[in-house]
Amino acid sequence: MNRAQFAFDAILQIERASDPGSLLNSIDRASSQFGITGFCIAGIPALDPFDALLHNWPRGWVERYLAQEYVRCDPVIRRLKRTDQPFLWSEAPYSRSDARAHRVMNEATEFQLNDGLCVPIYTNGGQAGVSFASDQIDLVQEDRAALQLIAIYAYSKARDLLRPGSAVEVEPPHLTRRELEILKHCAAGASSRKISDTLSISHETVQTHVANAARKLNASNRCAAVASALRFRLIS
Amino acid sequence: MVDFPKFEGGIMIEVLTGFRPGEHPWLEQAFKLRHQVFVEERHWEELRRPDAREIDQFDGPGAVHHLAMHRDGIVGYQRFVSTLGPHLLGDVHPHLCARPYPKGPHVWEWTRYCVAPSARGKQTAGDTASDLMAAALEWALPLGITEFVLEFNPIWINRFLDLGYAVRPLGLPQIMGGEPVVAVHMKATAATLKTTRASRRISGSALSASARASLTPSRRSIGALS
Repeated sequence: MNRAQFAFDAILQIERASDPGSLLNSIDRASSQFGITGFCIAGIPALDPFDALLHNWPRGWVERYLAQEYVRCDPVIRRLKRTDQPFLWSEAPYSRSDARAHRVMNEATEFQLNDGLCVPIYTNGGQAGVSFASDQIDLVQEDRAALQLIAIYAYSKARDLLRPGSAVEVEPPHLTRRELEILKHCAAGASSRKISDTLSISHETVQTHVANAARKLNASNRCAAVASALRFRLIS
Repeated sequence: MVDFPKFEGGIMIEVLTGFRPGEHPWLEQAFKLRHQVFVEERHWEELRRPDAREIDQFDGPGAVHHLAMHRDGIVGYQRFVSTLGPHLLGDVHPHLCARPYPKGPHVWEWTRYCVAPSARGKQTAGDTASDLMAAALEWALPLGITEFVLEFNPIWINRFLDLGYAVRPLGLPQIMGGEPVVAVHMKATAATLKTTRASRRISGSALSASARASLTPSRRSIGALS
């Protein structure tokens, strides 16, 4: 991958986003190329609370993070305030005796957020951060550099599109029960022919459901639709 | 370690061009400030010189120097070099570019931006820092200079976006001498000038009267700026 060119293209997509939903899609598409499954853009005002501008993290995790005020003991936030370079969550140090810090890092893994890349953002209005997370992070230096550029423009655009203080959680696309059912079969490797036999519907009907699901998920083919549905946790 | 004057307010940005090293006393102060900041503080050892003046091959008479002058001496500095001639990004650090950038009379390279330790910090609300930003545009726009190329820590991109610039990265950030650096191409407009000026605490021009006068023979053009 020509990472520089990829980053340039991703930035162009981000700058063209006209609403939070398309911005989220652009960031998601770009970061998924690096094995990232979710991101979170947040401001860190001088006083709490933590201001999540835009993210596609599991709602349960964000709710718990806010309710438990994890921003106060999160080693990633601590490191974020002291550096200007991107770092991995696994590179944010904390002592084993710091039970709260340990709890934050552990609980994130319950939501398959096992590791992440955190990009510090500095603006004239204060500090912010963009985290890219996944169940497994494997990034070379150039990947980190590309993600840093993507994060910089993602933050700027998110600020443009959103009022501060209004966290926006974009709803995953709404698929019908039938569309989800068929995608599950696709994920299991079944062909359209096999699915039509299994569900006793016509081959054309299966194709139509797949095409509709793909369109709603902003995916260009069946494979991408399955990947997208898995990422949004619509199917498992 | 050179002792620099304590900040007390009353900073004006002077513009010097057409001088070689050794030909102007203010320029000598600038070279010493550059040595203190870039060599002593930032450890850019390759720039170290035994006479403690930081001077490179782009400090010829064509270079434009902005000096933030307090009555006791220099407290801030930045330099502009035309992209039509030799410049840092094109000649020394081309590896920072994954795509080309325009060169022309309207595109200048902006380098060596620095503020003396005495003029930094919250108590001054970063005045000298913001003054230099405003001075860059107040000097550039009347001369038809609307684009810049720069190399800096990627964290500066959001700051320039906030000041109203269109910022385009020219390559991926890379680690150079232990520091992250990215090359960018920026475009400024009159709206950028407005936003940049609004970010300063003081209204009015950041340039000294003589600096403003040297920009254009037409008084009307100067009036249009403010």
